[in-house]
Amino acid sequence: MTPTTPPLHGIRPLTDCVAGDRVRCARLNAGHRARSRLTAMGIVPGAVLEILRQNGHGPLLVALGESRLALGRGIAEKILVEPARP
Amino acid sequence: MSRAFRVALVGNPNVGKTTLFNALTGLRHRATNYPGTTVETREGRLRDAEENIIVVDFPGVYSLSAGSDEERIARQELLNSPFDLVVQVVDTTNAERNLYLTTQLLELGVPLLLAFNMTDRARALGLEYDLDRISASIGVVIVPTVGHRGEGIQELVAAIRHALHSPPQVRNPVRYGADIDAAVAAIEEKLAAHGLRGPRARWVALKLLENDPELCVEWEHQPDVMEELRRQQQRLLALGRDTPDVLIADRRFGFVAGIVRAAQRRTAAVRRTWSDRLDEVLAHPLLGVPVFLAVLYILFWITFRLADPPMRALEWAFKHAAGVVRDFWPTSRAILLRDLIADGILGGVGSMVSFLPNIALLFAGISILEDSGYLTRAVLLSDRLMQKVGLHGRSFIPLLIGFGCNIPALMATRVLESRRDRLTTMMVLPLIPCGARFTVFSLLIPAFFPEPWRALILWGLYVLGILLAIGGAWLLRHTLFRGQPEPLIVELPPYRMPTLRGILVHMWDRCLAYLQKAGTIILALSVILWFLTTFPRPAVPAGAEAESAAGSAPTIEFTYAGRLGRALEPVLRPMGFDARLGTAMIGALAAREVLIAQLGIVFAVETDEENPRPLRERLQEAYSPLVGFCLALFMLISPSCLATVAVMRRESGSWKWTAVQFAALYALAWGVTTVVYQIGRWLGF
Repeated sequence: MTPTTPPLHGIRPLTDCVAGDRVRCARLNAGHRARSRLTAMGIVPGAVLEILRQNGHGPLLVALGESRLALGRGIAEKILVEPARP
Repeated sequence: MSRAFRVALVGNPNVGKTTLFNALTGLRHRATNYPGTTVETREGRLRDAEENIIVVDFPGVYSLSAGSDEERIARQELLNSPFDLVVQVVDTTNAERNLYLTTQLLELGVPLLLAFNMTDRARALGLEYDLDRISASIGVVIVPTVGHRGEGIQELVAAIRHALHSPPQVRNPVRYGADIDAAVAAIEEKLAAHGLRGPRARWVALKLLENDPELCVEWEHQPDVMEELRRQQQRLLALGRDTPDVLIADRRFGFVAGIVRAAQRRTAAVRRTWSDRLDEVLAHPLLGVPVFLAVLYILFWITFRLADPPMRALEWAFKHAAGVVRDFWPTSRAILLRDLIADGILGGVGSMVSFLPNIALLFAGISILEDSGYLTRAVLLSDRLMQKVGLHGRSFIPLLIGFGCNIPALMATRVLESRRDRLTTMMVLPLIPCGARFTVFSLLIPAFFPEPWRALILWGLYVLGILLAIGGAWLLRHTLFRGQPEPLIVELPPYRMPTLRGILVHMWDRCLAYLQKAGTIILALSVILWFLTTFPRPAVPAGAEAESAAGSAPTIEFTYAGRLGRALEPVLRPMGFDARLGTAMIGALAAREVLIAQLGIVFAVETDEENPRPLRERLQEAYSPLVGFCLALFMLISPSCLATVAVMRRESGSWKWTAVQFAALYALAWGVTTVVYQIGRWLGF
């Protein structure tokens, strides 16, 4: 079951961000299995992520609080984010 | 004596759970598998307690959502096994994410105790918590610990004992909001009609709402429950915020974040800078590669080169012991018993024990890689390459070790988490040309081919083995082990110094498991093989028996192995082999390198590894180069040795997969060799 909420302004997949961006997770556009893995790791709507490495190919490296996560591009594409207000 | 208490030790991966387990139980623990699975658990008796308290170490999980094998097993165990207490180990530096699991344990309604571990690191990061406050908010006792320094262990033991004698009251403090509460209540009502009430019913309702795959299957034949579930899910979706599972997760995190923020006293904002800086090189897709290759080389070197002297020493000792038995055998009677002890048992035990240095050093290496945090970085680097053939990034360790020996390699598949990944890797591993095959190639190739061709043929055999392994993995992933590749979500824990104690305990566990489980099978198979290559014996005049006992001359032709070799001739013919080669190959099941000795026996040639010339000459006379190549090919693909079979059985936990692998490898070897031989003949070689 995929969420049917309409696209919101300023929302883009995590893969469109660049290193150094601070973003807030807006929605998880993934299947049940991937979604439950993401939420268990703390990637839920509202969580603030800082992109540490993103070079167009290969996994992304993000900081979430004190933890560092590597996300494959396939899964990162399904994490929709918006700019985090400082 | 009073009954044993059972305590479950759970927690996220990389929270120092194993260190704490070792501190709680000492070396008095044993490794066991969960019933019917390859997922391993360890259990041991709690030290410093008069009561009989068994601590069971769970696999590291982030949640109880049944998303992975580990999560499903952890949940099943907690639901179905009678645990008197659950101790969750929490990484204090990452309290929010760890407490998410806590909320799920509270939902499950298990009696809970928290150990806030790594409080020293948290303090170093400038993080301090008012633990009493957190404890009061969730209604669970919290003990601060520093596992690797043994701090807080006594307090934890005392808290465990106290909790066992006066079980804590459990309540679920998470507020999900009116919408979800209403939905849960409505589903609970339907569940009550099926006799499910209380906290368990509430948990099931919550999980169904989350679309939990296991529970949905369990309840799918209850139309009233499913209908209500769909109605409630639709209602929540219509609110337009998110799917129910995300909403519920969001509420859990909201609850946890509130508690953590209220209890946090951040003294200074120190980030984990040096660990991040290391990752700029080690986890970099290009810069990290040289380090990665160097680490692999060192691991290989440690496992095989460093283990070589003790291995040789052990082999020598057992050979020597067999010699002593022969020399000092008191009578000229019971020669068979002497041979059974010297050749069958001592030989078998010797070949079993000689793998120990490999296994001990390999697992010391893996332990260092895992405990330091480097392994997850290595997975990151190799994942893309391995994914292409349908393997997990972590498979590179067992595959690499496979070039040395398949036995430690099969054991190294433990680094893989999902059973599907593990089985795929185990199934194709024997195709990786191991060191013992190299020994065989180095006899066969020079016997049949002139110098300029030798290196090329050796290289070709290695490439073929690797290609077959890759092809096999690809094929398995598209047939038997089909399924979505796991999405890559890896936590990179901060780099840490591995502790000597942790490494030693890991080595000890693995060696013990190998000796107990695989070792006994290897020993039994060795004795059976000895029997097959010894009996029945030709009728010899009584006086001559002593001299012929060493297995001189083709007495092997009379034995079961010899008969079997002749019986197999129709199958061997299409590959260009005769009964003599068949007999030698049966003997060589003990180990690849034994083929040389077996060929020596079959051709009645005095030979050994140091002096292969006479045997080479005999082989040259008897067979064409094409047959020689086919023999090498068959040795490359067919099951490598009985020890591998035994370890496969132990590691896969299944005779079925072991048999499938055994049969498939022989079928593949026969097919490939036959095709090559027939084409070769047709081409006039």
